[in-house]
Amino acid sequence: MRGIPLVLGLALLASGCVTYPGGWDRQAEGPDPYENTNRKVHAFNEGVDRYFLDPIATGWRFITFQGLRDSVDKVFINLAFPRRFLANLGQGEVSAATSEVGRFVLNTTVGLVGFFDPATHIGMPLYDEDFGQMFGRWGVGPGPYWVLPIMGPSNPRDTAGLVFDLAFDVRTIASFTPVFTLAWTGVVQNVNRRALLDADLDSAREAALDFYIFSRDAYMQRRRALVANEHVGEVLSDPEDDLYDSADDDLYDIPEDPSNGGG
Amino acid sequence: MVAAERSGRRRLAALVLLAALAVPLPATGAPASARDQAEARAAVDEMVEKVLAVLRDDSATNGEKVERIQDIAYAGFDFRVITRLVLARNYRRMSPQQRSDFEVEFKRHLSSTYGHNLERYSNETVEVTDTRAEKNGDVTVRSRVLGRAEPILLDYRLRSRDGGWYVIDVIIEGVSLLSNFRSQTQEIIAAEGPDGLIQKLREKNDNAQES
Repeated sequence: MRGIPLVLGLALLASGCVTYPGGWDRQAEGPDPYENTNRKVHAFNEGVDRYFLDPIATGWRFITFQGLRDSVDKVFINLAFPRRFLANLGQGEVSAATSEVGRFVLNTTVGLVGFFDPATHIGMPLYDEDFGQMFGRWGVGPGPYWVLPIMGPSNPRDTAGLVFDLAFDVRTIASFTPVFTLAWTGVVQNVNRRALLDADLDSAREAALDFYIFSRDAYMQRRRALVANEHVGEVLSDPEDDLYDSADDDLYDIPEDPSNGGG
Repeated sequence: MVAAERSGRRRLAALVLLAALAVPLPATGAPASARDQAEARAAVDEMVEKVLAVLRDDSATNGEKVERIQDIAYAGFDFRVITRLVLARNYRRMSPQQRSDFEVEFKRHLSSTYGHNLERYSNETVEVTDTRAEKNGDVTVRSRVLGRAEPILLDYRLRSRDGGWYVIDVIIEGVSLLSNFRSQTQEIIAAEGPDGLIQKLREKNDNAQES
């Protein structure tokens, strides 16, 4: 039973899904060959958020307080410990993996299943690695961007990673009915998370000119930064070498000769 | 003995100062020197301090705060460079009128977005951690926003002009806003042309002003 998602995940990784569909030129045409479908799924997710998730999260905010919501989130973070342990180990981060074991023991016992986070208070920070980041560190490219129903922005590599993440979650390991357990706790987890991120989401939607592209670009940049492991203090080089390259002497000489403007 | 030590230290300080002054300004494209990095860091420190002072000023109304922070941002950011870099290759294809229209609306958009976010301020502090010289002479000043459940990594990229350092990008947790806006504007221009983009921005700004 538990083997099935892992085989699926491995198959997804190995099947060449990580490459772009035939004839698609990543350099010239960008990272999003499935944009038409992705936009539909994105619109569906926005609808789910608007009519279900947001109202429920608003109700949840009404009957809870910030500290409780933070703690609920921490419980789920604690229960995801096995993926952090394995993904750190898989990247050779032995001391981070060891620290994660210590965190799990301490926060599960003294911290009441993770409701509190005494480990951070005594100087053991979270090393938030997942399988998608581990595959990335191994050199697996993200592949084409895609949007999953409900789960949101992803790509083949990170979707495979997510399958592994969930397969090794304590909820999966400790439950007799993993799928059922993951489903209902997942609702609690995501409603709570949605309540925590409410204001961030509002300001992101406000700042975006096109929320689909905003989300796509933010997701891709963020995952690239996480794979490069900023938290261990490595310097992240320019994501795109030409991003800051204006290569123009006349930058401050506007207006310039309009005959140049037509291109 | 103590006096000698102090004058020795003063002489050392003078030497360091002289050495710093002797470092020539980098030609465009050369990595920033230690002095450049210190200057860029000071510029960020100053800006952050000013913004936090406004945010903590309980006597000011929200509208006054937005206005004062807008002034700080207009003085500390190089919007001409930001506009140029956001538009990238499309910049060349746009008329001077389109460019300046876009710059005006883009500034309006950023400040209204920023203004609405001010209401959420709750005693966060900013700690500048270090600086990094970029290959092309820019300096990245790295900081952490403290006061939430987890610290937020916030980097500022600065470029020098006329002896001052100006922010040209803000990178939140590895996400460059410049790059993000570039992706958005490129796709909108490809689909709707430069005027479509400017129109879209203008409508968004007008709506934000009403609400």
